[in-house]
Parts: sequence; C-alpha cells; structure tokens
Amino acid sequence: MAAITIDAVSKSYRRGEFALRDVTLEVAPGEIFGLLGPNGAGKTTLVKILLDLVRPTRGTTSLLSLPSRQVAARRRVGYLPEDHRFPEHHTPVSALLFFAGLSGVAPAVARPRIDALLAQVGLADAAGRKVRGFSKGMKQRLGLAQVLVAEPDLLFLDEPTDGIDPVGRAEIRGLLEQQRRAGRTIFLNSHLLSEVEQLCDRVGILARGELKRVGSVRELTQSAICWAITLSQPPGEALLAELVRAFGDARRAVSDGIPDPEAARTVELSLARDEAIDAVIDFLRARELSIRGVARKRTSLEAAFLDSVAGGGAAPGAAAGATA
Amino acid sequence: MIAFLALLRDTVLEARDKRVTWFLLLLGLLFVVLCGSISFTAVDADAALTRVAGNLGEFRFSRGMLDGGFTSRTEVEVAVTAPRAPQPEDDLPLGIDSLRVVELGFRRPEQLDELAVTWRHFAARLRRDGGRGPFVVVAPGSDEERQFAAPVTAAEQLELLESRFLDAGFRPVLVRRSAEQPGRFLVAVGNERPLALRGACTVAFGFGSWSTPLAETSQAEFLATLSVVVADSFAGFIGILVLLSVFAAAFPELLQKGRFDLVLARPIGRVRIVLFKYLGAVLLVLLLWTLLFAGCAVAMGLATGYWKFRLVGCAMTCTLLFAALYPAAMAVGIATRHVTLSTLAGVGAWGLERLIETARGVLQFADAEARARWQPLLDGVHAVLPKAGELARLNQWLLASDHLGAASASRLLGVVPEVDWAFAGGSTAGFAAVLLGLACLLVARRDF
Repeated sequence: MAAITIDAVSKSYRRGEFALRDVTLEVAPGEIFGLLGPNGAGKTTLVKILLDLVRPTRGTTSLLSLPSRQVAARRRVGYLPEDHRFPEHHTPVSALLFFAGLSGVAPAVARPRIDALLAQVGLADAAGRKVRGFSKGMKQRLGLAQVLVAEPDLLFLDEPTDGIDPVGRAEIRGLLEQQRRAGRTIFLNSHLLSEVEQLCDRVGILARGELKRVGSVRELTQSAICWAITLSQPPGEALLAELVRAFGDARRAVSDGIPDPEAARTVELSLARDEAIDAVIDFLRARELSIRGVARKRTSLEAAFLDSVAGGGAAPGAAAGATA
Repeated sequence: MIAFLALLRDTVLEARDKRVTWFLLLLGLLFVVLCGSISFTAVDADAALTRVAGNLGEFRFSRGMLDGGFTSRTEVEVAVTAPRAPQPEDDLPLGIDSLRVVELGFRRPEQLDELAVTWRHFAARLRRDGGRGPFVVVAPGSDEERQFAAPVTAAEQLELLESRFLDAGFRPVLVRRSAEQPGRFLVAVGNERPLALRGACTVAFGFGSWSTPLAETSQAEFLATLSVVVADSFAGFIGILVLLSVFAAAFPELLQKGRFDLVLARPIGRVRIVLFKYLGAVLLVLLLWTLLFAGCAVAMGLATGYWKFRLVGCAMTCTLLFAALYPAAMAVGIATRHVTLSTLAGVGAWGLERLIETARGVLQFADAEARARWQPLLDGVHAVLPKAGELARLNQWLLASDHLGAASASRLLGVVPEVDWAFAGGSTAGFAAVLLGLACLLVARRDF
C-alpha cells in the first residue's frame, strides 16, 4: 500500500497552459520524498492536487489508499503550505487548537500535545502572544507545529525551512528525522538541495510540469559515472572526436572561469560502467598519450537537477563534486 | 461537532479582534446602563384625570415617541368638577378601590355632536392607515359622507366620552348621562393600571440626574418605545451595519492565499466550512443580541419594577435579519475576495430594501399613472429582497404587545399594515438560501 499515489495527473488551465503533464508517482509509507523543481515547475500544484485544493484536469491521486477527493483522505494528513498565513487574531495556542479542532481533535486531547509541540519548535515562550507580531521564522515554526498537531501519518511540507536561520534549520531537520523514525511519510517540496540531499530517501525532479526523474539521491547523482583523466598535454579536437566515437562522451574539463592549466589538460567522460575506464586508458595509451591522473567524480544533486531542468536525461559529468 | 466548535471559536476570536465589535459592545453597554438608570415618579392621577377632561376637544394623531403626529382641536366648552371619591348616590359598582369621579357639563351640548363627528373622521383615519396617510376628501353624496354627516346618537356620545378616558389609560371607565340636565355627564374612572396612565408621571434618566414629564405618554408606552429604540434603532440599524462590516470581512480574509490552504487541508468539506462559518456568525450575533436585550430588560425591570421579557425575543428577529443579509456579503466576498465589496453587498441589500419600502410608501401619494408605471417594478424588487421592514414590524408588535393593550399598541405603532407573513418569511429565507447556495458553490468549485 503506497502512502501517496499519483496516476497520470495533468492539470491545464483555460488558456491552454499546462501546469502538470501526465505525472505518475508513488511514495511508500515511512519514506521521505523530496520534490525538486524550479519556480513554476508545478510542485505546489501537485501537492495541492493531492490535498484536493486544486482539481486535476486528468488523472487520479490517493492518499493512504483513499482517493484525494474524499474528505476522509485528509484525516491523517498534515500540510504546511509555502507562504502560509495564520489568522492574525490567533495566538499559537488558539491557532493550534483551531487546526486540531478542524481535524476532529478535541481541545482536551490537543492541549497537552500543543504545549509539547510549542516547546519542540521553540515557541513555548511566545505561546500567549498574537501571531501578528511574529517574525517569518516564528510563523514557520508555528506552521510546523500545526502540521503535527493532529499527529498525522503523512506530512506535506512546502519549503519548511524557508525564513529560518541555520540553527533553526538544523533543529527542523532533527524534527523531521524524528518524524521519519516515528514511521511518518514526508513529502517535501524544497529549493534547498542540500536539505533534500540530507533528508530524503528519494527525490523527484519536476520541470515544466513533467516529472523528469525519480530515484534515490544516490541513484540520481551516480546514474552516470564521470571520470576525469588528466593528460600530459591538452587534448586536441581530433582526440575528443575519437573518444566520443568510441565511448559516447568526452569533453574538456570546465574550470569555472578560473585559469587552471590542469583543467586544460583534463578530459571528462561519462561512462555507463566503472569497468569501461580500463578501455579508455588502453585507448589513450595506444595513442602514446601520457596519463598524469585518473579521478572518479560524483555528480552532485544540483548538477542532476540542473541537467534535468535543462531538458537532459542522465546527469552529465559537467559538475564539480566529491571525487571517489 | 468538534470542527464546528473550532470554527465557532475562531469566529468569536476574529470578531473580538476587531475594534468595531468593541464599539458595538460599548454602545450596547451604554443602552443597558441607560435602561437601568430610568426611574418614574408618579404624579397625582387626579391631575391626569382633570387634564383629560379639560382637553376633550383635542385629538392627537400621535404614536407615542415613535412618530410626532399632529393634533386636531375642536372647540368645546366644558365645565369639569374636581375629581372626587365616589359617593353612594352615584350608584357606582363596588370593589374598585381606585375609582375617581368627575362631572362634565357641556355649556353648549351641540358642541358634543360636533366633537362626535370629528371623532368619526379621526377614528376612520386611524382605521385606514394609522393617521400616516394623506387627508382623504370625502366625496359629496358618498356613503362615507352620509355616515359622517348622520345625526349623532346618545349612545355614540357616551362611546366618544368613554373612549377619550380609555385612550388616556384609565381602566375601567363608566360614563353616565344626567337624566335631569342635558349636556351633563358623570365620569367614573379607575386607575387599576397606573403604568398605562398617560401624563401621570415624570421620567428621570441617569439615576435621577435629568427628568422630564411624560405629557402624552404612559410609563408603559415609554418603556415600549424605549424597547423599540433598542431593538429597531440600535440593533436593527447600527447593530446590523456594524455586524455586517465585522463578518463581511471574514470570507475575503479566510480566502487569502496561504490561509485557506491551511483550513482546506484539514478533513472538513468545503461546503461544511462555509455553512459552519455562516452558522457560527449567526449564533454569535444571536448570543450578542440576547445578552444585550436581556441586559436591557433586566436593567429596566430593576429600575422600574416592570419585568417584561419579550425584548429578549427580539434577539431572534434581529438575528434573522442578519442571517438573511449575511449570505449576500458572503457570496460577494467569496466571488471577489474584497472586504469592502463584501460589506457593501450585505449593507446594500438591506439599504435597498429600506429604500424600496420607502419608495412604495411614497408612491401611494403619487398619481395613478406613476403608480401604474413604478409599482410593479418596486413590488418585484421588494419581493426578492429580505423583508427588513416586516421584521422591524414584528419587533414592534412583540414589544408593544408586551407592554401595552391593543388600543395603546395601536396608538403607539399606528395601524400595522397587513403582512403576508408566509410570503415575507418565505422570500426572506429564499434570498438567504439562494445566496448561501451560491457561496457554497463558489467555494466548492474553485481551485485554491
């Protein structure tokens, strides 16, 4: 049983613009799934369709085995929207009592939970203050508390650490790890790739309404193995063309605009298998080229993301990152 | 139920957060204090009796303090004896402790007949429209003209005199013609209902700091009028304006980006959210009016000793008016997400009904051609709007019947026009239901 099922969902508007095209995805229970995408990619629309805030043009979605259109599907769900606004007449306590009430949690049950949650998100001292005086970070913390107040099994978080300082971010990451340990499923929309990298079991990359890639962070960053081979002299165009013909890929290393003599002598190749490097070395040695160094490079999530967004398939090796 | 209570609590907190709510509460409190600061000082009932007997030629088209009216005077020369206790030779019924007697002597008995003819006109006009409408010139030779010009009978003379004292609030009233002297009458009046006696007391406000005599008004009429002012002028006018402006903002604010998402993501249906918010606002208004009206009724009871509680019932009618108008504000608020437009829609529906009602009244005086042109349009628009005028009349009837007898109520309110309550109630409920349905539909179908 999947926690989230998205089956061929499309959303178009009257002007014919597509927000989502044929998106299909499943998220397993207990998984932390990160959805990446540039602004306007359709991330928020997808979450809103899952929560029945927006109706899809085609396709179906379900949460915890219940169709999203059913009210009951949201019974065990918590949602933190991006740029959320709390009613300003509330204090944190009254706001959380309100949202708990909407989820059917009686005040007597919610009250002790609220005290614990406010302490957990660092708002215990501001429990009696009106929300209108809160900073963005405080509102974000309160937002997280409202997600958790009904003790949901499935959490949708849209930019949960937006506006929060680094210390606060670490605390929130800890809180989300705690939710993972409690067996909760988390669907995370974030622009912070490092955050997604640290937290998520699997990542989806959405661009122009299409789900370009889905996989674990490891799968996305290592789906293409990139090797950097430093020669004794800069490779000529003829050599590069030969390498492309023989191995499907070869290019000069990019030095990020900083003059780097070593980069000028380095050839980068994306190979499907690790073993293929032997053939490349043999190929170079057969042409009596002197090899000064061989390094295995890992593609960063950012590179995979940028590649997917740019319209590519497998992440190329045009990225800096940790060497193997 | 838990979700409904959560939304109700949210509605209370939202209303509490607005300054205008506190203004309304403060104003309400002032009314309660005003009601509690009233005191009556009775003047001698004999003085009231003498005054009425001395002003028999004066007919007032007055409806207490609700309407100024005017006075018709017919010259009558009448000698009035000083009020006295009944004597055995008066042969009056026993058992009425408060009975006082005066004797009236008409110096020119034909003046009594002239007075009776004036009374016929006066009574006919009151019967027709409570004295509100225009003078109607009776056509020469018509049945009505013949009725007015018919000779005055002896029974009619007695009935006229009796009505003058009954109208002043005396109960019972016995009028007897002197067998020996034409134009001489013995009038015995009881003062069993001092509350209903006109011109027999002074009223003080501000715990006695300012007082004024009630010349043409009884204590009961004064209290009924004050209750009508609380229910109709304060709650039905200022209160409606304030509450509509407070609650009209609720939906445009709720639908703000980032705020409604938080609510919609909860396990509660969209239509239910709209209906619960509506119901919460209506219940809050009902609670507010019940507290205010109960406070005024209790304060009046404590201050004057007259405990009348139908004022509390007016909380229901005032709330019904709000319940009928609020869906207009809701529907426009949801469609436009604009607080001002939402407020204008609620207040506008109410103002339009008042305007149409006034225009229909004014049209009665217009010529036949204008009436034929405008009446169908005004009636058509009026038919679909919530019936604020009818609800106000219901309030007035409730309050007048609580404090006053039928005659005094009629004097206070005038002749209440016939109201088709089924149509008024049905069209008001229909207006609310259609707009509430529209509000639900807009929320249910839209992407957020």
